[in-house]
Amino acid sequence: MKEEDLLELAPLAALGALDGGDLTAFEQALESSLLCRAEMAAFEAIALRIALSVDRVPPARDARRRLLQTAGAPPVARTAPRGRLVPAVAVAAALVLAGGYLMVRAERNAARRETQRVRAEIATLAEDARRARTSAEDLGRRLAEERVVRDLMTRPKARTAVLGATAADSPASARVVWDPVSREAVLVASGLEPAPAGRTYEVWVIAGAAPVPAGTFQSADDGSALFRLPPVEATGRVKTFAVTLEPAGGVTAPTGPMVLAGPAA
Amino acid sequence: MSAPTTETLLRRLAAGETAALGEFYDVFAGLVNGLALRILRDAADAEDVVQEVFLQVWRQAARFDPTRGSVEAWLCTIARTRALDRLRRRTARREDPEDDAPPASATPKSAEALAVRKALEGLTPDQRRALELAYFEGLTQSEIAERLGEPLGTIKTRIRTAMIRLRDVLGPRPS
Repeated sequence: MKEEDLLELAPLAALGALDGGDLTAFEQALESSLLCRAEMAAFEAIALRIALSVDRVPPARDARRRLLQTAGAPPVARTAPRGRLVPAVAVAAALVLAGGYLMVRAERNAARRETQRVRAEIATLAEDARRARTSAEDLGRRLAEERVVRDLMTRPKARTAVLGATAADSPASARVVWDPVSREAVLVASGLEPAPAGRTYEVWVIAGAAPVPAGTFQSADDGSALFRLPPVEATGRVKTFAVTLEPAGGVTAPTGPMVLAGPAA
Repeated sequence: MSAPTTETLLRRLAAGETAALGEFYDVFAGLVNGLALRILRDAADAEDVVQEVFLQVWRQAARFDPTRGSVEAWLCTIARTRALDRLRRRTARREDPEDDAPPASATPKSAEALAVRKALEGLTPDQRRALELAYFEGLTQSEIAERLGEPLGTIKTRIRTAMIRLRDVLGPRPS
C-alpha cells in the first residue's frame, strides 16, 4: 500500500476502527513511517477531544469511599518483610556468642564474595542505566521531531507537498508540510542515501524565477531525514519544493543535480 | 486544575499516598464517569469502570509519562478501553441495560467541550453516526458498514472526512 493510502487510514486508526488488512498494513507503517506516526498522533488528539466533549457526571457519593477503602492497603509492599530478619539476626547472634573462629572466617569470606557479586551487579545495573538513558535520549529526540511534524499538521491551514525522486531508479521520496501563514515548514524524507563526503542536500523553495535556498541537511544511514526549514518569505507563495546535492555548507543558487522535486498542492 | 498541581498529585500517588488518590478522584472522576456512562449507558457499569480506572491509576501512577500526553488523555484512554471491554462482554451476553442518560445536573460544560460539541454538530448526521459508532461503541469500520448496511468504502470515507473536518474546525488544542 502506498504511503498516500496509508496516511488516509490514520483517522480511522486513531479511533481504533481499522480491521483486517488495513489494520495490518497501518501497524507495519507505524514502525517505519514518521509521517504515519505524526498523522496518527494528530488524529488521536482529535479523538481525545471527542471524549472531552462528553458531559462530566459525578459518580455516586459512595463511590469515592469504596475506592479509598479498596486502595487503603498499600498497593505493593514498600519494605522488606520483617519475618526474614529474625533468622538472620538469630544466626548472627549465635555466631557472636559461639565465637567460633572458623565460622566467622567463613562468614567473612562469604561476605566478601557477596560484596564482589553485588559490586558486579551494580556495574551491570549502571551499564543498563547508561543504555536506558541513551535510549531515552534517542526516543526523546524522535518524539520531539514527531511533535514538530504533528504540530504543523494540526494547523488548519497546513499544506503538504509530495516530492518524488528525479532519477527513475532512486527509491527516495519526501514530503514537505508547511504553514503558508507562519512560513514554518518541515521536510520528511525516506530512501535518501547519505550524501557523499564533502556534499550536502539543500532544499529550495521555488516561488518566482529564482529558487530560494531553504537550508541544508544530511540523511541518516537508513535513508531517513527530518529537516525543519528556516522560515523564508517565498514559502508563503511556493509553487515547487526541490532538493539538490550541493557542496558542503550549501550554495546560494543550485549547482548540483536535482534529487527530489514536487509541486505545492 | 493547573498542571503543577496535577503533577504533584501524581507524584504523591506514585509514592503511595492514599489521600492523594481522593484528591485526584475529586478532580477527574466526573470526566471518567461521564465517558464511561456515555459508552455503557448504565450507571452501575459506569461506576464499576470508574473504580477500575482509579485503582489502575493508583497502582501505575509511577508509569505515567507526561511526554506521551496529558493526564486527561491517559485517563480517557484507560476509561474508554475498559468501558468498551465491558460493553463487548455485555453485548456477547446479549444484555440490554436500561438507558441511563446523563442527568440534567451534569457539571456544566467547559468552553472547549462546547466547541467540540458544536464541531460535532457541524458534521452531517451520517458522518456523526459513523464517528460515534467507532468512538463510543468501539465498532470497527467493517462492523459499522454491516450495522448501517453501507459499503465499507463509504464508511471509511465518511469517518475520514468527519475527522478531517473536526481537525480543521478545532485546530490545535489550547494549552
